Amino acid sequence: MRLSGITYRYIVAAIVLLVSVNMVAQKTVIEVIDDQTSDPCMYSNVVLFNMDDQVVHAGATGNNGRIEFDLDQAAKICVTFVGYETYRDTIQPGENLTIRLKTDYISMEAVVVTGQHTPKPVDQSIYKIDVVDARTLQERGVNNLVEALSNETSIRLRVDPSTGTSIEMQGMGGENIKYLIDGVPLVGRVRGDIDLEQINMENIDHIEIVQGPMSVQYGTSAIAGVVNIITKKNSYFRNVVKGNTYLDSKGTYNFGVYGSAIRGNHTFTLSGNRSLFQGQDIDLNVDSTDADGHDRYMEFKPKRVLNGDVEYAFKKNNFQLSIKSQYMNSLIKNYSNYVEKVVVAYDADFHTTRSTNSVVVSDQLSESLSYNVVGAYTYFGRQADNITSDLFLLTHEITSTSTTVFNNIMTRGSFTFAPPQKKISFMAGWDVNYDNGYGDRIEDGAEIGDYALFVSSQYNPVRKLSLQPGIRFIYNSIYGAPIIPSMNVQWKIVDNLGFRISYARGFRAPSLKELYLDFKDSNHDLSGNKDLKAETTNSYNTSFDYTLAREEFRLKVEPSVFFNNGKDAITLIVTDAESNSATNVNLGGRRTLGGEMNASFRHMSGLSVGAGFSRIGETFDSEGEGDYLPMVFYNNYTVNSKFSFKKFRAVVMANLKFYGETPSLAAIPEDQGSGYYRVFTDPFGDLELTFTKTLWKNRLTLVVGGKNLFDNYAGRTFGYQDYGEADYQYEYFSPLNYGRTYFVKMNLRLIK
Amino acid sequence: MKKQLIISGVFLVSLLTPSCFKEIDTEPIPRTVEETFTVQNSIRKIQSFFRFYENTVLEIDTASHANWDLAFESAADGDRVLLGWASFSTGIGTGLFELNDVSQDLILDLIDTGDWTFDDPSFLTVPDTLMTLLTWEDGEVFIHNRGLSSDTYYAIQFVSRTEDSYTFRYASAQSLSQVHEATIYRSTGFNYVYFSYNTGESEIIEPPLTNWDILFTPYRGWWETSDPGKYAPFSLSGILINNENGVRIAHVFDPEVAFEDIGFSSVGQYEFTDLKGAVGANWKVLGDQNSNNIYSMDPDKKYLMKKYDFETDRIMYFKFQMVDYKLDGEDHHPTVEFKYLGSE
Repeated sequence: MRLSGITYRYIVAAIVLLVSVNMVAQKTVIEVIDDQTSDPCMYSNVVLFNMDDQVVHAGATGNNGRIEFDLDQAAKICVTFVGYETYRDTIQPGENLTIRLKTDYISMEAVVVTGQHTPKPVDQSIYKIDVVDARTLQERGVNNLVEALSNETSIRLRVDPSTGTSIEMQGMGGENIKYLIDGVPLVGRVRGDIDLEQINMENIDHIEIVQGPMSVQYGTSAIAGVVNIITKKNSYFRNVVKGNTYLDSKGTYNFGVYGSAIRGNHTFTLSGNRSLFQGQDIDLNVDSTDADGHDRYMEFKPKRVLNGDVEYAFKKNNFQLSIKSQYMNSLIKNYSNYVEKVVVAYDADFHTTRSTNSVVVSDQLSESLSYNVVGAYTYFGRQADNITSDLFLLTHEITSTSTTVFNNIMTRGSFTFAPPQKKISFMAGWDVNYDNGYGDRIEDGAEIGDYALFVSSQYNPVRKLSLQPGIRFIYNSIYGAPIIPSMNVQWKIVDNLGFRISYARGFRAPSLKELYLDFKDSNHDLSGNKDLKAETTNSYNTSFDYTLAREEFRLKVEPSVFFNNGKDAITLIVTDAESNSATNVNLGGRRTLGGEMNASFRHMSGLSVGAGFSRIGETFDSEGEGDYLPMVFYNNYTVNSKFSFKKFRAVVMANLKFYGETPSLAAIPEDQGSGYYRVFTDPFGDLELTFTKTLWKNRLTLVVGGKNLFDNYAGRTFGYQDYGEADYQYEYFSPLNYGRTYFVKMNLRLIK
Repeated sequence: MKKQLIISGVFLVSLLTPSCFKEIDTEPIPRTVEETFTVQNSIRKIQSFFRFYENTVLEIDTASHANWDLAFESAADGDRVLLGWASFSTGIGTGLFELNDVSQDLILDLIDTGDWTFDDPSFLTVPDTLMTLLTWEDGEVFIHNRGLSSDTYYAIQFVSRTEDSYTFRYASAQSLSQVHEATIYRSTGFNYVYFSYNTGESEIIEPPLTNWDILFTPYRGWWETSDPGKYAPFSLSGILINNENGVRIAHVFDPEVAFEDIGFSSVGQYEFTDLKGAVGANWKVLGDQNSNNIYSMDPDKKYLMKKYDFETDRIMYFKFQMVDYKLDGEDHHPTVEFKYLGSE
């Protein structure tokens, strides 16, 4: 059979066409995701080599974790991303590949944003920043922000079962610590502290903890440090739904849900959770009126917290808009013992509502210029319902109500000019805060405004040296404010040895609550003090970080030292330990000096061990005449260990925190000459053990464990001096925890 | 698939775990409604503070009259300083303005010839009531006779008064050269803060002001003599009210109105007073000479009481009358019949 000429030509053309098609580059899609969470790994580096190991393509994955290449021949692929093990393979033209990056337990480093001109890996940050990441939060079965921060060496917890547990950093607490959620200040303190159990944990990505003053960037209340809570951003999944439940042996029942959807440039996110604690009576006899064995009083009060967040985000190219509304409502129930023979108890419900509504806009206007503007309004209301409970009739009647409301309006904007390949960058911005308050327990016309401009620059004269001077100009509507300077230096001495040193001046005007609020409940009698002066601090911090990295392990050691020299330090003083009466006063001077040594060891086998030691000294000069008491030091110890059974997708974790004997101040009665003296709280330790297992193709995570395994209940504070009070006692016991607690937590995650 | 369903089921069940607070009051606690109470301590020696509840009246606190010598008004704008009326104190101005100028001879002269006065707490609410130390802020030195207490006479002189405190100097007549200075701090939540020469310090005598309604106490007062309208100083034992916290009294002295007939509807018919001595001591009358009783209870003296109840934020009304004066055969232990009438 002979082919006709035409037929032959067709066949030849078809063969040529087929061959040529085979030779034409084919589109290859590579998707890079986290092996455990299936989250996209944005901006991971993908490099393709030909068989001669020459680079043929390179690029970074986008927000969806994907990158496309036109590939005309088989290639070697290498994918790298911070915190993950390097992936290597070969890929054929037209092959679509989903690469699951495995966590690098040896060299994992987080990316931080607090105080940065641009987001950076934590070890490149000019500030010393501790990070608590989402994975750790999950593996520890963390239930609230208190637990999230409890294992940090730099942080001490201060337990108040009524107003909520709070923290201390560098020997300072209360209003000296600034809390931010995505850069928006968290408003609503009781007795100077934020109730950390009120924070929505449902959508936290990670927590950044910066020690030392950041008054230039974040203004008042940032003297001891900043805790910036970074929420999760869904920039990939078309639909994602998550849920979790938590139950423990002491009557805590929590659940939460999170949902997010992306449609085009629009992202909608909803999240909410409810935590419910049934209360625990540890029989400290704070209320000693127990009659006939009917003890209704609970030191750890029943509490319910509802959180709901809704967010709309728009993103196009570099322009980003986020509109977010956060709502929190908490109810704390105070049950009293009844009056004997009357059989009537006087109870109270405390309702707290916080609503924060914020808008964030950011854009990259040019290669060098970008901006970020935040505006927010926060409502914080607290209502106390006094309830008469007739225990014979079993009726509960609200007989009176008192309300206190605080409003905060803030805006913070910054423009960053950072030309590529240049040694210098600048950031300039404004920070405006206006607060007012009204209600039954606060004076009329209580308001305060804080208006500031700030400028900072980052200069890298040589590659390994970075200098960041900053300055803040403040106008405060009540207090004269000084100019606040700061200077940060980072020097990468050699590749594995870094050094940071900083000076910053801190300024803190008293808050409206410290000035005007009288807060009284069954556990507190706190009076506002209109005569308070603003507080200033000079703060010096320095630290080293040394890393020894080998193929099998990575060892990191971070010693650091700080010194804070404060004037007119605003301090809450207990004036009567028995009634827990307290007021804020200015100490003439307060100095804190301390150091910290943290070491971490990660082995490729999955073993991770961290140990930390901090020693903090405090002294004060009550009159401001330079007459300081001898400095008293106290120690904290932390040991955190973890082993990841990679094959079984399971993690075992043990965390120990030990608090040394701790000093605090007690007041000398006015009729005995006034002044202050030291009392001390006994040392105690806290141990938690957890086991985490992922199931159902990583959709379900089960965490079981025990907390407070040393079975703590009460802490003893001793050394009270006898000034002739009728009810004098040498020591008092205060609630510390409610004993050994076992829990189970489940996280369910469905994505599309 | 079955495994997935089980896991999802467990998850959903755990979502439905308790969503409400546990109810802690499930069984009623028995309660009795009392009609009378008896003062357990002699009202001639001990100050006894009582509070009225719907079903009972409770003794809140007690104090000996000898435990205090001076009482200082606690409110920030208050300036009243009282001699120890529970121990029948008296006082007199010396006309001197230097404590060092006071001598024992001067005190003896004043004892013999002076016009000593006392503070009757019954009339504390009456404007322009003369109190012994009314003018002491002028700096005049006063002599204080402590009444029932030993180490009887003290010289006292005002130093200063602020919205937080009172400061004064004092010296015992036994050792006038040893001058002491004391500062008494006001305390919110109390009507008065007290001072004792014995301890040289502030003393807590009365309960917090929201926690008591009436006080059974000895005091020096003006007693209406058998000649109506004429009063004479007398060492009394009676009842004072906590008018500072809103306790008010109406007299139901009409013999035609029986105690049993007084109800909530009656309260509008009577005028309430804030006079601290509105109940006072005249609810008892001296017994007959042949009687075993020093006093007998006046059956016509019936009282309505209204009070502001801090815990429940209500105005509560009660009626009461004294029905007996003995406890286990001993006088000065009144028994009070009472009843809760209602609230608004």
